[in-house]
Amino acid sequence: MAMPRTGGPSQPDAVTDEEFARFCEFIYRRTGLSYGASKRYFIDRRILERVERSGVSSVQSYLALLRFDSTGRELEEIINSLTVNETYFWREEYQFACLANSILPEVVRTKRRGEPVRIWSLPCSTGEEPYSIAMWLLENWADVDQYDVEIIASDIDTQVLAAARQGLYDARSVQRLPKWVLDRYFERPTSDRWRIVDSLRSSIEFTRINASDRAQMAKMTDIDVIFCRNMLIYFDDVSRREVADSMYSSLRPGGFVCLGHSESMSRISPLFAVRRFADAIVYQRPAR
Amino acid sequence: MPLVKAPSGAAAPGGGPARNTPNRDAVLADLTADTPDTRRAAARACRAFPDAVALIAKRLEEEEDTRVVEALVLNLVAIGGPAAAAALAPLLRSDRAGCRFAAAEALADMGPDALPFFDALIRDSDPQVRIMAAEIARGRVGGAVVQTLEHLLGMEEEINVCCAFIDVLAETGTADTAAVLTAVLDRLPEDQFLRFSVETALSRLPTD
Repeated sequence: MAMPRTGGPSQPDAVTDEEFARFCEFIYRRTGLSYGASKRYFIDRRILERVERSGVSSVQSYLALLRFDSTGRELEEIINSLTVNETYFWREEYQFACLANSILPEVVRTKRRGEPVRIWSLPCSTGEEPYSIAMWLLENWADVDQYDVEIIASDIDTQVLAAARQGLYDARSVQRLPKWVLDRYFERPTSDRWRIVDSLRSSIEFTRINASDRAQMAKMTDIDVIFCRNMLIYFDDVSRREVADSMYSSLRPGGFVCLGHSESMSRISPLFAVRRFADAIVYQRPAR
Repeated sequence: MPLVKAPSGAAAPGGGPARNTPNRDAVLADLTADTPDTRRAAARACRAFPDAVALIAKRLEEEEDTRVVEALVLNLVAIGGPAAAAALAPLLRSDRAGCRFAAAEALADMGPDALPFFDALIRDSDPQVRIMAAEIARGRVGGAVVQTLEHLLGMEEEINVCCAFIDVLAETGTADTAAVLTAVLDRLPEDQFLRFSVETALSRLPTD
């Protein structure tokens, strides 16, 4: 929640090198997100926006507010402004094809009767990915009626989680979807908006998770497939290894990780085996 | 619709009961358990005991399971500080290649805390230790290590050590590194592999 602006002396219009370094170190410690000098303009803008909105008089005061704010609200606000949430439905759909054609048939081979298939979208951003997974499976996985499928969607950004739960999208988000998919899974509250139907929205469990927090990650267990696309590129080497280690623990033996097309688990962690399927290359926690 | 909502208690990290601090003695004992899964769980849990770095490093020396090694390394990096770096540095002399590389990787990830140990190990009398120490320079120890490698490369007699330094400098060097590499070729002109290493490195260095 933003605090009211107090007026008083004029707001700062620049962030010093030292303030920038201290801020980046603080964010890295709390989230694993790593920002170098190339992101200076982006970061400075976000800091100055939050200085103004939080009503403090200087960047230094803002850093103190961040550090000592016991409610964690300001940290949440700045994380929300730093994270990138650009996505759309059926993005890199070849991985969804791989999920239905290759990964899930292998996963269910070792499932006991009544045991759910658990798929985790991390980060889920505004919901396009978990809803895409759901729609793709409903349309393309032949065995979808044979198993309970749980889709869990997580993000560090509370604002995008709220948007994901709402399930309301513009034309850009749905541009890749065929008309029959739009007709089947969306409502049209207005001419330029599409809303996911209630039955689909209510089937996804949305939850806030900071991927670099081992304690939070440790509570996610028995996952069969993790979609973790285009998140690790924002982490440094050590944080990537930590997140990979946590994902390994969250997966069942034999479980899979799908990364973004430009990412490679082989360069991050020795824990996973590479699996080359017809539709995509993914990574697997060895069964034993 | 066959999709079912996951139980919120199982999926919401904030919703579950707070975990108790693990029992120190039990965790440290489990580091030597028979099953890798138990050892890995213990290795992840022992991060709660930063005063146990010597014990964690000792386990790293003996552990052979990759998954457990990874958890131990990440712990030592996360605990950090001079004590963790000091516990890792001797492992560069381990008889086990996996342990040597794990220790070098951890020191590389540790940042400035590893610098004093890097400075000593890179001048070690054992060429194998100097080769492993060069791996540390790939990490977060800071730009000063490039000058150190360039300086020592000018005096190094062991071809394999020279090649290890050149390999790292190819990744971390600057345009000024080119002159240092050329000087090595002038000093040791007969070795074909060294020539190949230098030429490869020169093609990768920035030019301005």
